[in-house]
Amino acid sequence: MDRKFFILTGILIIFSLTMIIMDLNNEMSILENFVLPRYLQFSRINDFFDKRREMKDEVLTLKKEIAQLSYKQWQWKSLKNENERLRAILDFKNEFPGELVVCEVLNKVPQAVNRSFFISRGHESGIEEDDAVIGLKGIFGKIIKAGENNSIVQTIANYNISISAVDRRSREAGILKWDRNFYLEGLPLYADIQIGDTVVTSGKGSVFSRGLRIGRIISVDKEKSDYSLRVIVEPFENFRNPEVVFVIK
Amino acid sequence: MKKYFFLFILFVLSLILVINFSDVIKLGSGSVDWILLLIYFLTIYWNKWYGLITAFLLGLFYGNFMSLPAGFYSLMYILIVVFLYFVKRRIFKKKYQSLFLLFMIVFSAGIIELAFLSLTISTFFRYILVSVLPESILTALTGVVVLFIIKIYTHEK
Repeated sequence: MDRKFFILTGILIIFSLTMIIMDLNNEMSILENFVLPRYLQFSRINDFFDKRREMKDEVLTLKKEIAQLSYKQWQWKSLKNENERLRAILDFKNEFPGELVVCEVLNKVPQAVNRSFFISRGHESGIEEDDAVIGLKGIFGKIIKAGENNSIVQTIANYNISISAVDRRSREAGILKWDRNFYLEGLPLYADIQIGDTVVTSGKGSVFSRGLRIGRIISVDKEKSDYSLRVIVEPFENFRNPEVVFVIK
Repeated sequence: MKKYFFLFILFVLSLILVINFSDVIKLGSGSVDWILLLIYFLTIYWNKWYGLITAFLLGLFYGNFMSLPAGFYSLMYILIVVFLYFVKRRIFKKKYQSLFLLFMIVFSAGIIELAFLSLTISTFFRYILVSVLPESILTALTGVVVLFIIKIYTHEK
């Protein structure tokens, strides 16, 4: 009885092995034979982990693409800004009635008490001391020292400045000074000054020619002495981080 | 003839339960292994010949249905029947503790299947925890119910 059982068992085992060998010879690897169907059996857990892995890969790829696109966008914006800036400089230079020397602002002068900058041009471009320096929006300062290839510009935002200026609308004249703010001094109480008026140079000084834009009046008040007006002017030009300035010849 | 018909019904039923209804009762991602359950009870409690033939045919069908080399499951189930043949006289088959053997068989079969999957070690152990172990426990628990029914049936008889 047992013998028959083992004979039958042996036959069935041989039969099973034959089927396995036949399957293996069917140009399918054992991996494909076993892994794929087992994946079906463990489909839920496999799906979960596969999807998670796929999503993780996808997220990484997308992050990389976002980083690349952000970099390209940043580059594009920089180029656009550069282009706009250069165009503005060119237009400004072409439209300005006098002769201008375009100068790149190199650096801040480190030890200057009053705010000063190095610029990229000097004597070889015809720049001399006391030449007026303007920016795209308004007056910037004057040359206090001119070298061969570079110069030092002192901005109008310093305690020594004293510029003859007028209200462009009413032609009321005063002296522009700086004390952490720009003040238009010497205006009588009855002077026709309004907030929002543009202040320009009068041309009476030796440095700045007539009509250069300085800033806009943002506050009109009485002085403590009650004899004159206290007028605060907001400059058009940026003195903190300038990039390009023009020296008037 | 009646016995064969009953055997045939069990045969078909176990296949249907494994293939179509394995998602119904789940613990982790493991479900009751109705085929091993049938093979176990056939071999231990009924007839080793029925167990052997059923194991072979079920392995053949199951493997084919799953697009696996049919021989693999047939071979595994046959070896399980042979193993059961050797141990059936050494266990107290009327006691529920004997079902630990069923648990071990299902567990071993699961591990053998996993061993052919070319898994990484971590995945291998993860599958053991989430699939093989729950499957073994569920099958053993179902075995308790089946044994209970068998005991009632034999007692009444």
